[in-house]
Amino acid sequence: MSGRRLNAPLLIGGALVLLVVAMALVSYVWTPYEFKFLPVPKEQTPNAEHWLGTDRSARDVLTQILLGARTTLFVGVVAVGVAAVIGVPIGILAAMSPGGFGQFIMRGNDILLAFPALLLAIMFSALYGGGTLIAMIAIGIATIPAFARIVRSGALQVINTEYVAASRVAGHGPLAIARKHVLPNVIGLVIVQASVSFAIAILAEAALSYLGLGTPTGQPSWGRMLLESQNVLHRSPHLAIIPGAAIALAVLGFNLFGDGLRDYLDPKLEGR
Amino acid sequence: MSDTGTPHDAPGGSETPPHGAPGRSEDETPAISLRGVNREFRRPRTSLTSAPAVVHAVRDVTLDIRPGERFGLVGESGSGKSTLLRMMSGLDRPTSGEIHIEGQPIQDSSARRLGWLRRRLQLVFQDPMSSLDPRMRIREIISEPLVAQGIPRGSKVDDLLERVGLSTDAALRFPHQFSGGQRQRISVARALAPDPHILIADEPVSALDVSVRAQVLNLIDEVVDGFELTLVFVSHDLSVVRHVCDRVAVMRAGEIVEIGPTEQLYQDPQHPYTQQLLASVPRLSEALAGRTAAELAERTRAALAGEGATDEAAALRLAEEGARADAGIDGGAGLRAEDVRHDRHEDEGGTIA
Repeated sequence: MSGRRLNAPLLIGGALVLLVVAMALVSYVWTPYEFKFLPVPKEQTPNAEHWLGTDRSARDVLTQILLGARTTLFVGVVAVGVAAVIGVPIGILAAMSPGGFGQFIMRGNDILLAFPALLLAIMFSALYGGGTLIAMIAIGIATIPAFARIVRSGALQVINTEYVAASRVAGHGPLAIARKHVLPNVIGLVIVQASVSFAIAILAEAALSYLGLGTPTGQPSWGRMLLESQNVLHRSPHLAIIPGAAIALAVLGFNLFGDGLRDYLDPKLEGR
Repeated sequence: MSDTGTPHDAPGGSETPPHGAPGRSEDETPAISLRGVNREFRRPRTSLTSAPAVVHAVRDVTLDIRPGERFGLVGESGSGKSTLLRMMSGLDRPTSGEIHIEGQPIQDSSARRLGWLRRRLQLVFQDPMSSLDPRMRIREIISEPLVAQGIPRGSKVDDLLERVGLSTDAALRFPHQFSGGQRQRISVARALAPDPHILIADEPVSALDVSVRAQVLNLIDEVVDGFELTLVFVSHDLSVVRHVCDRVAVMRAGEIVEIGPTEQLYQDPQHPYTQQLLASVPRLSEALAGRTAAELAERTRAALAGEGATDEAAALRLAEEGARADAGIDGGAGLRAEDVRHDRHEDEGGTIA
């Protein structure tokens, strides 16, 4: 729309998100070294050969950071994908169902919301064996209520508008109204929620990997790097600081991006 | 149009709906017929022990609207007129009573079985900002009834745009690119798309600037004539209803308190509530005794040309103030410009009595 303004959170967040995406893409064509034990000294501080140093198994840190960006994006996409694909229809259904059924859905939603995401992920890991994918499906399931809620409240506003009444008078049934009016008008909310949930998923993966329940050994992950640095923290703090900073920046980036996007998409703020 | 309908009489007439072949014959099958219609809303329970409160929005309304009639429904907000209208259009169902549209009952039908109704009856809504989906192009908006009913679109959208006085390149634009008055024109075009027999207008000009009300009212006037529609016009604004309707019903607290031909009701209101309503409409005639509409129009133009006004509405205000000052009436109750501009019973040069 005409009056929309780019805002600072959107630009800064967007830049950080792009940086993570760029790192993941670069890792497919170039990494400084292979992701394996190198015949070089361990725990080097950043230097000319190893820009970000080497870890306690003598692996190049920059290589791990670049490869870890893939994992980070992968977990975000899986978790947010699961949450959105299930949560959005549930939200719309709850908003459009008459009376009791919608309430019933939302109470079920509340129960799921009461479950801490990490706890659910730990349960899933225990039941189905660890691994990034399992953990992230669990995080995704735990994020469903967030999507369902926000979509329901948006959908409720939409279905009470006169254009939906007009659509009913025009002869459209509930499915057509959901597809033609409700979904297009709540998609902005979904995108904003997705970017915020993306940040949460990144953090969850890091936490699970740190606990040893997420990404297994031998697979690069920022959370895993934190875990592995813990025993040498006193003499090689950069091994914790670097992946920690990467996680912090990625989470900050997605959060800012979500906030900025919300303002950008909000028609009430248009033209300010 | 000049049909001198008798004040409403509940006919004990036969209710044999001509299923299958409704048509618009001149027989006396009412376009819309309500029999003892009630609608109650149950408030959400606030306490476990007491029963939920019930709001009786529409009480025992019995009413016939003849084909081709222009029927007005007047009442303050909360009087149940919108609820009644939603039931007429199948958006809501009565708690009890019967509603027939062109002889066919609709009160028990699910939305799915009301497909036929969508070709007969269409609505124009109140709020031009919320009645058009902001994410749809005008072409999609106007063709929505056609798509929903599987009617081939053809050049219909362009024809309709022209019919309501918009250019055909409007079709590719979005609602926010139009003014309130233009949006109502789009709303009218959408309502006309499936060639309905009945047009229900829910406060179609209440949300508009005074300066564009007349245009939209005239448009509704024209299309009702041109397409030979039955019009149900809902408003809280008596002067607007007077301009448009042949027969008027006054609603209060869910009941119809008075019903009759427009002029009769305005000249000689029977029910105290109607009298009260009419008394509360400030009379422009007081301010303009002996003046003509043309004179006011001249003042408006002058104000618009001069420094004082930046737009039509402001110019109109200035002109009214001028007229009022000349007539020696001080401010107070705002004058209703529609009394002049909307009164189709008088020509432009006619004296306002």
